[in-house]
Amino acid sequence: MICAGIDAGSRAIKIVLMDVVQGRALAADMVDQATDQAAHARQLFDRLLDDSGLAIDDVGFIVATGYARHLLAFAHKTVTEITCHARGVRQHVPEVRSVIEIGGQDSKVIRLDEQGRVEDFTMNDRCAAGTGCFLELVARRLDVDLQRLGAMAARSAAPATISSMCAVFAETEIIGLLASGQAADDIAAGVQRAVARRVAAMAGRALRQPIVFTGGVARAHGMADALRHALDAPVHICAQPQMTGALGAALLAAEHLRANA
Amino acid sequence: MPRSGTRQAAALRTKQRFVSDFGAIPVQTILYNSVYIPPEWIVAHGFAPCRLTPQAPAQTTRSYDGCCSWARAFVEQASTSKSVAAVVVATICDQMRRASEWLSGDAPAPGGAPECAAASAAGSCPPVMLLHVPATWQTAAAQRYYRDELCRLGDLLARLGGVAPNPGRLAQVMLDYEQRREALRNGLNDMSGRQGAAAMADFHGDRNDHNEPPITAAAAKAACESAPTDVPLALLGDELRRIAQALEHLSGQRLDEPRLRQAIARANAVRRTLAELRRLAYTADPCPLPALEMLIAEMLAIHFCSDQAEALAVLHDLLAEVRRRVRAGVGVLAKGAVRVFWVNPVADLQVMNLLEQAGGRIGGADYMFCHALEEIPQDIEPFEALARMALGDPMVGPATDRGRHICRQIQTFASEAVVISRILGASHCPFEGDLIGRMIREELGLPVLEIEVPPVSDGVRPALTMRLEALVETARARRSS
Repeated sequence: MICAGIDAGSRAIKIVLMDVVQGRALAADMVDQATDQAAHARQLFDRLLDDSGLAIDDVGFIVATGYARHLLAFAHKTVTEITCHARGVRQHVPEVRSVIEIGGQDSKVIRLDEQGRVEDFTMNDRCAAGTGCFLELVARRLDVDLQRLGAMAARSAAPATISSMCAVFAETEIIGLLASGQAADDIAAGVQRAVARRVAAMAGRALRQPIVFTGGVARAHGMADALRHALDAPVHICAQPQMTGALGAALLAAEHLRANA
Repeated sequence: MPRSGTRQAAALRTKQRFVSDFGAIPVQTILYNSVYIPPEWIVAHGFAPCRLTPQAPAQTTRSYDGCCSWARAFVEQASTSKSVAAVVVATICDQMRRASEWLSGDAPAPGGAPECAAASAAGSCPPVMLLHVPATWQTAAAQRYYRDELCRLGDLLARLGGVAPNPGRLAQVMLDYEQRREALRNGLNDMSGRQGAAAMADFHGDRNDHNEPPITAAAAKAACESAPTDVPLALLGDELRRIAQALEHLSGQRLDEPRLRQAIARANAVRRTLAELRRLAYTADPCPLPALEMLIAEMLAIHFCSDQAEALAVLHDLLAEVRRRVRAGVGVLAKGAVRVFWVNPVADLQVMNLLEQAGGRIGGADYMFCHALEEIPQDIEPFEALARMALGDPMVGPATDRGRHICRQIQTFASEAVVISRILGASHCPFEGDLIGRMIREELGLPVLEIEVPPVSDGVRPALTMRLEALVETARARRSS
């Protein structure tokens, strides 16, 4: 029996197909999000089924998560990203107690209990400063892509100080730093630290370890180091960080099928 | 308040250390009214600072039109204090601004000839300085303005015989104060709100009689347990009587004690009905009343829709309907909806619907007017009863008091999760919300969601919905643990 998890996020749509009996992922892929999220998700889903030699009737249950989860009419159930990321990360790191997820649209700190259940969570408010969106904005300003921004940050020996907690004001600060001749590498590193500080402030109190970092921004070189620095604690990067939401959704779908078998 | 000999000796040593450099200069007192007047600046000039805190309503027949009980008592007590070199009043409110004018005799004589104005003219009343406090600390101009005001205060102190401190001397006094502040801050962690307020008052040398030596923060913690509680009650009761007089004047009707008792009894009838309504609406499963209707019903406690009798009739009918639904086991939401305790009112009521659509329900609420839900004592003098209620309002004390009250309410209603809704533009919300959230997490271990609710537009709805759904999911998952 097959199930699927779909994470229709603000920047990309990710899908994991899972064999319920064997409990392993059969296929996984992602596409950039566009205006018609439902159609894009369906196209990716159909392609994954084709590539795996499966038909829609083979899929017993589909869980959708992410920003556009309610738009996916072919999904059987919607679950929030909080629950899905927690479940997905737990699959990779069973002993995880804190999850930091930085996505395109928002950032989350999720606390898990000893059984791996979500105990509590904190999310950024309606502000882009602690999100991937902010990093993208800076990358555009520095005329590089997100991955290259990480590489630049890694070269910095003296990260610039970005004091603003607001993305708009921070951009103004960056323009000022560029005008004053500050090295782009230092600005990139400074921005990563500013994002990390924002997330650490959101976490509020000492996070229980192990702390696992996931979401699309976890792929950016240097961000985990910036978080370690801001939290003063070890931070592990989750395997395939961009896929943990979809993986968690697929695992929840599998659990649903097993429970209702 | 009792003072131990050891404490007195320590306090006097501190005082002597501050003034010993000045040898022949006698220690005179500068009375002041606000934390915006730094006591170290006064000490560095060789004077003893004393923040005057009125300890009783003014006992006078003199009329102070437009003057609150606090300012009136301040004027009376400052003008009768002995050995005072000057009175410094910060412009923290209009009432204190007026107080400074009355003290200095600049104001038109209130209700005749004030003794202080006469005394000032005769040269027996100490000089009064109005220290202007900028409305913001965010700009360099405001900081310069404040610095200039402190220089002006320094000039006055020098004219009174003080010595302008050199930087080393000033640094020494400031460092000493900073160490004492640090000790106070550390001590505050183990104190209740009331104890903390008493300790801070003592730090600033708050006295009715400035000849008393200051006590330490630690001593204040123990001493405040036996401190009189009737002073703020008397001051507030005085204000309420003034309001009653104004109402009598405006309405042309006498607001005597029997009439006031009658009004209190009617208000209590509303509150009793609401208490039962809250108990049923927040705990019965399935939920018998939607969040919005319940919010509107609760608000009757604060304004009665201008008709107490009608409000009570509506509440009785609503309660009867809720009882009927509970008996019949019917509700407006699916059985098993997650009971969410809601803190603070929202700018857009649509968000309450979003919570219910997400699988939650209101299972307890503090919409910032919980003081109006408690019954008013009917066995004591009515003005005192009203003053007691106002002072007992959790919104009046420190945020920790409100946090404790909310925790108790959460336990009463057995809520499963909490939403703290920040009010847009309310600067206290980020601080208070964070603190209350931390208290709930640590004391009750419940998931807490802090949100800021603007008018719910289509763009905001998904993010808001996601957060509320995640909270409901989290609370549901915890049910199985």
